[in-house]
Amino acid sequence: MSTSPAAELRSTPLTTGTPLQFNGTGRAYFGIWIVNLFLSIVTLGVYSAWAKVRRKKFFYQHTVLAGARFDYHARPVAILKGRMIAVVLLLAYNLLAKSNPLIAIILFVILSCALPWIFVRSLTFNARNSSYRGLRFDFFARPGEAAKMFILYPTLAFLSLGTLYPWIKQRVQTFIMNHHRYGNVSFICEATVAHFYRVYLVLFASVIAVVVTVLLLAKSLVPTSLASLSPLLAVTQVNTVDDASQLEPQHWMRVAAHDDAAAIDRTLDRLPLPKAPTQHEAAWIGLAMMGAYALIFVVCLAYLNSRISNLVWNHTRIAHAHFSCQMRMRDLIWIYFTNLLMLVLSLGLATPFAQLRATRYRIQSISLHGMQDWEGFVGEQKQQLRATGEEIAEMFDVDISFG
Amino acid sequence: MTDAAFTPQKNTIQAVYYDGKNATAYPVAIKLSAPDLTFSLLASTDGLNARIHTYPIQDCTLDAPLGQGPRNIQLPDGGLIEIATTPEHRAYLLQQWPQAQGWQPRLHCAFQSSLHWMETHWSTVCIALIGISLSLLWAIKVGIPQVSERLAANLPPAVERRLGEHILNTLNQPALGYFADSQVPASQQQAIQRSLLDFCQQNNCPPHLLLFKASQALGANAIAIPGGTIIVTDGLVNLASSPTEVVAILAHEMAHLKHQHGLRQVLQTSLSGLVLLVLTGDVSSIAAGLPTLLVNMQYSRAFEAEADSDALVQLRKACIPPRLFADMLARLAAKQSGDAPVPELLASHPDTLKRMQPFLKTAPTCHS
Repeated sequence: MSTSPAAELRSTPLTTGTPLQFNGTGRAYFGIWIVNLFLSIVTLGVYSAWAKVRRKKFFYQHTVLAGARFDYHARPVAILKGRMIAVVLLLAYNLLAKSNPLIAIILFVILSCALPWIFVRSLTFNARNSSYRGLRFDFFARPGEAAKMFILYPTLAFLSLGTLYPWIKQRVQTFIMNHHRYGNVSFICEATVAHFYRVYLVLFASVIAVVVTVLLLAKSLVPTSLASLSPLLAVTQVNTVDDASQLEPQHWMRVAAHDDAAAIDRTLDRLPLPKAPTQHEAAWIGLAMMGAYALIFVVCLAYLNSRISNLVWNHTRIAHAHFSCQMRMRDLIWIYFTNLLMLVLSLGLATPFAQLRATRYRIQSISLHGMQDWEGFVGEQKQQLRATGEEIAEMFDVDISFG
Repeated sequence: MTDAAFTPQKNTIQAVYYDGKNATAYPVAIKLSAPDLTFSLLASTDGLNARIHTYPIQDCTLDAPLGQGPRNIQLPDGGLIEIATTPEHRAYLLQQWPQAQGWQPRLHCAFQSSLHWMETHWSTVCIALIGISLSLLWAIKVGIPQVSERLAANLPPAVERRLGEHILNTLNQPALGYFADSQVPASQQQAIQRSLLDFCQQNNCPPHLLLFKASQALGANAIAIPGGTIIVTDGLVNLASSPTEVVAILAHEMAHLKHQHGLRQVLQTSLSGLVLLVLTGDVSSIAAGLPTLLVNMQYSRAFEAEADSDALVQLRKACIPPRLFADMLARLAAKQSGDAPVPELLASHPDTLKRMQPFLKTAPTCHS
């Protein structure tokens, strides 16, 4: 962990650090979630801006660090404006794109150029509307820098066939962290490119190893598994013949003519669906492949999310204090899978509980070390803020993010 | 430093004060008595901050509660008083704040407070739950199908054609091995084409192209592809005892084409996926998979039912006994049995027996 000598001196009394805590309950969030959804539907989406503010405010206000809570202050109208602009742009793009492909290309280029600016705006909006101990956070970056992060680097990643991706990931993550401020003190993230390469190389090697093992296993197992299945197939064949003898059209005619409900019910159970066996088998194989894909996806996601979060936070400091993050891949896998199960079994009603669990885990993995005095954090001068002009600030106070 | 700064008095509550310029937390005792809010620091070595702070309550804002979050009082100079929500504090604020403010609730705060009331009472939560369920049901059963139907009718025909070409290209890929050249004799193919022509003279069929293909994977089957291609497999032709029986099945496929079921299925799938995604938020896109599948199968069954009822009417118009369709269904079911029956909820087609009923019950009205 790279901390300045001064920080090390001052952090000696506190070795364990102060963990971030989350004390929101699922019951409280369920009420907020369901009312948000209901009012958003009733107002045809207009309330969704208010819903976003309430959701974020709930999560911020129930996050506690050293006895103090975070807060979120965005005005819903600013978010609503942002969403309306996004919808209008999207509609205009779709309508114009249909009439003239040239206009579509020009609009696409303009929109892609605006994307870094939009990204910076939404980070700034979020940071400025977040507070802790009565002080606001801030994010500042020049559009040129953002363009480098979100246009130039992705292009490079594409051209390098992904080999530069860890380097770019490091650039983007440190860019976001380093341009954040609490009061007027900057966050400093010192995660290096080598750190990022290590994370991605381990993932890459593991995926290759797993794929090779599965292929080898499949090669040695497939013939035997088919053989073990054949008695099963024979049984179903017999059943088929048995059923087919009853499925003469005349039989159906009789059933229908007498309208014998009992007979229909009895045959109903035995009547297979009009689907070829090959189709049925294909469906099962497809399902199994989808399951395997989901498994690999979830594991990779858990690995990357835990490792990258740990990497970034463990190398981040602010003033004389530094952070640590102890996310574990197996915890995330457990959370993802149980959330998935909960969502499916509850037909989506468990959504707020699932969101809460994942967020609580993320928040509680982070600790702050060596914070001695909060007096060192000073907010922006009030006069300066006023001088920019409330009106102008409000005009550009637009949140165009999709959170 | 006054005495008031250290002895918590009656009618005060403890809170934490942040001045908005510095991140230091100051424990304070606050007192609300019209027209002022006053507070004093409970413990401080800083002489400057030990004085009693006074603000007119009219200029202060008490944030509405949210969950079990703190009650915040925003001071006019950017300062903040954070009050932990204990029952005593809540009671104190409830009693003192409106009185101190002279019973002039602010619109913004009243709105936020009513939201909090709704979020914390089971009756409103239940109403919201029922409302969401009903609107979701309505969207899936009525809203999305109607929007898709109108959308499909208004989209340029090229869209549907392109979709069909895309599907055909996929199916035709040799690697997949879906189709081989048909083994049905040309004379038999022509007989079926002629029968279809007769059928279409009585009904206004959409523009279509009938193709014969051999297919191991699809077995005995007929597929209507958006844009007007109908593929009949050799298995189906061999199952029929006459060209008219093939046409009975083709009447069903023709209805799929006429009502643009292929395109509508695509539109409905994407729309319902979008709705479910909005509902479950960004938790997990995989979790939305199963409900989406169920909804899509329901749409598919609805299309089959529509095609069936359309086919029934058109068969009667063309003097083809509807019974033939039911016969073919029964034979298809017999031929393709062997799998464990899939529950109807998960199936793409309605139950075969139920499908056959109307065709068996309806006598041909034709007198030719």
